[in-house]
Amino acid sequence: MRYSLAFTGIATAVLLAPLAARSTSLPAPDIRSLQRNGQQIQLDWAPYPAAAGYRIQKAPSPADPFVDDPLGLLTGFSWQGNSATATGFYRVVADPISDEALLTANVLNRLAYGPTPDDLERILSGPKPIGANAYIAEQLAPEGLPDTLDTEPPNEGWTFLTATGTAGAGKLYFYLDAPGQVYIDDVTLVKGSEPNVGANLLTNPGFESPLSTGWLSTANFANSVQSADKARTGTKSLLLVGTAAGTGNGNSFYQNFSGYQAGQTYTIGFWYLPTNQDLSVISRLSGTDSGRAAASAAPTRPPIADAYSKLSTTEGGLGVLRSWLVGRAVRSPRQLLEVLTQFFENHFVTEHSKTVDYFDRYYDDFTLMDKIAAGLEFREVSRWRAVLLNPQGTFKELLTISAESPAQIIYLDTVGSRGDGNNIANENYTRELLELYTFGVDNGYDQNDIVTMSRAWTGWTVRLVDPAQIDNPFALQTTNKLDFTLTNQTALTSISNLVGTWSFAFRTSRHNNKEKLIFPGKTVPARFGAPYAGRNYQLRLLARSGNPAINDGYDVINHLADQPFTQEYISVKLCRLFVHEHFEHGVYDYRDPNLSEEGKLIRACMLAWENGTPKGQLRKVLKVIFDSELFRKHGGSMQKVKTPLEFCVSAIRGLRADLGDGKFSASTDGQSIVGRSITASTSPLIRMGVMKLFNRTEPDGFPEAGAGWISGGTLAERAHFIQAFLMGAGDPEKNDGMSVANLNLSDPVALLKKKLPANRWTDAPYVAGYFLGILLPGEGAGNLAEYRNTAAAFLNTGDDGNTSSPFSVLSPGTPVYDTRVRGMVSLLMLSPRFQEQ
Amino acid sequence: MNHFSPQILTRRSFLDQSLKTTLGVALSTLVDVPPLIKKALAEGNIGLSGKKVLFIFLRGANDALNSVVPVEDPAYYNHGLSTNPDDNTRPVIGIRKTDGVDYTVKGPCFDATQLATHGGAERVSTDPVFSHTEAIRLGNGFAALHPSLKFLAPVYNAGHLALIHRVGYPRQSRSHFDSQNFWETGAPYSATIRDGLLYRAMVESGLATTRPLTGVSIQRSLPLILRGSQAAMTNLTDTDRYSLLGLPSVTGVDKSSAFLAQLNKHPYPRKDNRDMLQLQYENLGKTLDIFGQLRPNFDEEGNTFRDDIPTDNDTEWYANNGNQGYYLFPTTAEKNGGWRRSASSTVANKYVVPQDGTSSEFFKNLKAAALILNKTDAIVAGTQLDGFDTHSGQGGATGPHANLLRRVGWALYSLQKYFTRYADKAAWKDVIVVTMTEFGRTTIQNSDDGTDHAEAGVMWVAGGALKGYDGVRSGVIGCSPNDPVKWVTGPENQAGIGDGSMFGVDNRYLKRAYDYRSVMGEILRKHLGATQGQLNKIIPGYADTRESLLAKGTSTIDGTPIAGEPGIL
Repeated sequence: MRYSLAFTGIATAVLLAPLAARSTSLPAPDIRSLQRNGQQIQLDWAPYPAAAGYRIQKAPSPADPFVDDPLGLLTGFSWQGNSATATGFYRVVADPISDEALLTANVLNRLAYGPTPDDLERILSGPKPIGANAYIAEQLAPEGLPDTLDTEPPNEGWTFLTATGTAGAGKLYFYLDAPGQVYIDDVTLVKGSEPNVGANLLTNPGFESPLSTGWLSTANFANSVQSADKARTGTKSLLLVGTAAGTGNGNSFYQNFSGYQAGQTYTIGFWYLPTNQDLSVISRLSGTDSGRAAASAAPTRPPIADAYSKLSTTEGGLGVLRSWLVGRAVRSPRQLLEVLTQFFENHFVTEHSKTVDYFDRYYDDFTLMDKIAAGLEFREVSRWRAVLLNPQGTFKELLTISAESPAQIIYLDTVGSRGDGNNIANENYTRELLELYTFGVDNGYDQNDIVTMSRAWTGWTVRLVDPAQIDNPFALQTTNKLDFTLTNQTALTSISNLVGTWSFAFRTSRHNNKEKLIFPGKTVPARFGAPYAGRNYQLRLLARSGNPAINDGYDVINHLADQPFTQEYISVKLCRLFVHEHFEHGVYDYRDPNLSEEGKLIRACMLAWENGTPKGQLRKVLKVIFDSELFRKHGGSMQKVKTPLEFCVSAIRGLRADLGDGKFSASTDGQSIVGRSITASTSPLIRMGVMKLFNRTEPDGFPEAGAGWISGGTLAERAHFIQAFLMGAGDPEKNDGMSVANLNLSDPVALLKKKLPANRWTDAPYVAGYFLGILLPGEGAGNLAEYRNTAAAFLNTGDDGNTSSPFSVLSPGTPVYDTRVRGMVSLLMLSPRFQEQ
Repeated sequence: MNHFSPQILTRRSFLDQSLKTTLGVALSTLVDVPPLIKKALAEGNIGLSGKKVLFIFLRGANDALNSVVPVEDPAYYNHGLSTNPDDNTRPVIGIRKTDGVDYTVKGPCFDATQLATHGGAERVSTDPVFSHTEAIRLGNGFAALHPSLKFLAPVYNAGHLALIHRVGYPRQSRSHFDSQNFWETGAPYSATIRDGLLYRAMVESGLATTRPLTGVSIQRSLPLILRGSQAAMTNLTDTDRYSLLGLPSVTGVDKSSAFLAQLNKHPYPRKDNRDMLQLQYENLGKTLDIFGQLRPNFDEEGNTFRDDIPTDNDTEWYANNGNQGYYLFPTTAEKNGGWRRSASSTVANKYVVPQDGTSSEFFKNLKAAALILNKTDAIVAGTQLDGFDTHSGQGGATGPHANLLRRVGWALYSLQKYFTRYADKAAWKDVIVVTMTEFGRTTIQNSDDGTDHAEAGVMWVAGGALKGYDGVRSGVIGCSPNDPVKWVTGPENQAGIGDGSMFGVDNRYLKRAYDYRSVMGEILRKHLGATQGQLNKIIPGYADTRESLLAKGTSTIDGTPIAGEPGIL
């Protein structure tokens, strides 16, 4: 498919209407000017969405066939050519990227936290691409995607270690720094500085033959054995056993390798598997510190599993919770689940510090309160995720979980609300329930409804109960005591001396037992059309008291969850999340035959919501969005700005490829994005505009639209994040003012070596083009031509910004080369385009 | 919630259309359009008048009654109006009057910072670091300053300071959490207003997305008062951060900047947010430039700003330091008052404000805020000072609360000096400094020698354009029986009188006579140049006559008489 425009070649250019960038079908490219100076012709046109390239065609008259003009110079969005004839017709042809490529980019930018190089290959560009539709189907059924991140066992996997150096003699040593043992397998020793590249100089490197083949042991390592218990490849490995620390020559496990050359650079590579001991394994070549590789071989639990374990036992505070969320966002194969988790967490917003503030009346220990509050956040998030993993999960279930969440009950003040006697119920929760969680502002309710409905929620509070009673809102306060030795009876029975779990509780004595008539006589407005218009949605709650009065709240939830107002508002928010910002609630007239594309999509979402059994199944609504032309074409492409969370996570993912040796070309510990603790004020997310995850002050949640996040100041912080991320691990600037070590790590050179043929490693335009392709897959190479040229020029310039320093003569593996690539990639990630999704 | 988006969109789309169709140029030229054209559809004068606001939020709730002290209300000393010590209102923390001084005399504020012969008041001590420990007569016949606030006296006597007492809002929340939010949103208990008061003022200026800097805070994170969803204000956690890191090496800065600028020049197909991003990248470039230029002064070695007179009558320091007074911004121990004297000095080293890391950080932030207002087109800048939640061991003339007040008093004095001596884009007449705090504290001290959460508080407003003390008019507002809403002396439930002001709410708390929104409203309209129509949008209560924010009346929300705007500008 191509888009083109014919225009007169003489004097006057025809300016077309501005491009409707969000429409599903695009008009032709917009020619801005034509200038003729003698035989010189210059043509300028407006950039065209997702153009893979541009071509100029000409014809003597519009009736004649247009053919490519092979002459002339095309630079960016301008063309200069020659024509001896006085008249002629030219047209600009934009060759768009394929529909599949566009859809792949949209899907990875919206259903996922941005593309990874491996995702792009798996879906689109690899040898056996599964296609974007298959990816959508996978993500819509996350329960079918294996995900063990939360339960990964302590580091029992094989880890690869490497070192490069010269040798004083032809000996390669292994030893430990303490008594103990560790498994070792698949040892390589090659010439040069690339591990595993070139001939392996070792004998019996996989320990498949008896150790006497090639290997020797001395002193403390004489007990080392060939083991069939573990093997990375083959069936055997080395169990390196040390009775005490080793030193190298004369006290190690070693091999005399053949072909030793003085001054030759060698690279060691090996895999090790820790046993349950705290020690380090060391391998080096002969000579003091020649090519020394050392690593702690103590087992460590992977960060996400560690966080999950702590959160599950209320041992993790806000910092742990945030690290878990962001770690999953980077690594989870269930990307849509992670996107939806954050979306609904932000929709049903709560504030960790308000929970802490509430518990301050019971406890003195701030750390304890932090953990309790984070535990409540984790509990609601875990319950939502269970619903999202259910093929028929509904919005009503999510809403119910929010209503029952102690964090929510505290956040919007239901916790102390009373309706008994002359008490006036607190309206805070009801107002937000209608305005922000279900109907949307000014959409089907008024102040009288708020006043009346707020009485239904009286008595919904929180209580410390026995953990077995966590789902019983009528349970009494726990009597399990922490310390029976206290003699002071008040202290003995005070909350801080009780062991239990804070949970939702219903206090009948606080409830307003009277009849409540909500939305009296109200009917659904005509604009909703069939089948909704004219429906009476009055809700009458009969007088009731005692435990059954808890159903006032549940009846309200059940009544609100599937009303057309809710269907509309939630559909609008989902479309803003997945498509673009310009969807509105409360305005579309769904009967209008000229309803906008946006309005039509909302209506389709609502009908999918309405017509399912049960109603409100999230996957049915999402499928409508993902099947829509608005989502699949330009309407869903690069129209949105990343939030700080999306920006940080997409940056890590953008460079994260599996290097095949157990390592990845980009990674994060989570904390380096979200901060370590509740009080962290130096984390990137705080600095980029106070994105305090799980701790939003304002009940409207973090903005989805870009304007709320982007200013000169916040862009400076985004720049800092990217630059620090792209710095090498040892760079003194890398920490960049954070209170924790910056473990947002990247190795773009490893990435390009993994993905590009060796003869391209020093090809500046090719390298620049590769990174542009993985970072901005939806933009089209034709529109990135100037980026590529600028980036190539950067690669060919010294760090002073002036001196010519051809990239083609740099040696991959040298610091200069590494630095050059890191700089170029960081700046591409600072471009305006990388702010978009 | 999105009550400002229509204006923004209209204005933006007007610019977009007019530029594209009539000028036929790409939107990238928008940044080159003179400000007046950009303001085509905006009303009012915010941001164009050169007028600026510097805010300081005193977090934790400052004790108003120990800041501007109602020394002529006998109930301040004994709420039984007796000699029974059990009825002493603030037996440990109360601020004593100086024996023999008549606080009912009217006139200037007692200036304990200078000798009378040097323009001060009745100070007789020649001790260069004269330490006052008793109530400082304000000269309105009723009130006095906490002795730690002695540096307010010269500002007050110049007519550049208003001390506004009994400030609050209807149905005062005694939760820090809620009340700070209410002060910052400018809309107590509003179900719809959730963004910041000064953020809305910046949006209303029409410049929030076109100027590199409009509203700026210098603290740990952007405060709510500057937050909103339609435009991003700037917070500086650390002024050093406003340079590119210069990856990969520090020598690559120019290369990086040039590359970044080149990428932003690149044309692009139209998408929803690309105009905004283009503009904000321009702003990023300008911000980097601005802070690059300001860096020498942001840095410690650039902190050279000094008083022009022998501060605190410290003539020895003055003579030994090139005939200049103390550093205005005590960002280190060395720059804190007369600390580093010559070895031969017989006078003890003394700090002008209590020295600790928190204090140094506060003055570093305050300096940055002042610099940004003085050197850039930013309209609003501010910071905060923590630690006012003095539930126990608050202290009286000395102690934790007194230490905090010394910083506040010195801050206002130093800002007056800075904007007078070093004026560039903003002179002292162009600047209004305003302090805020979420509420006041209980009238009667608690059993821990502290005070608890209460109601009305005190605001300080300073600036060269302020109509303060002028020999006749007083700069003390709201702390006198002669006020429009008069201060009623004595305890609660007095026969024929009713409650004394300090016991006017629940027989425990100081009752408000001013609404903080009236103070902010007067500043926004008379100083920054908002129209009344704009003000009604920035502070929605102004359009609601039941609130009585503009002129004296009764708030029908809780039936409290209030004085409307204080009339300080």
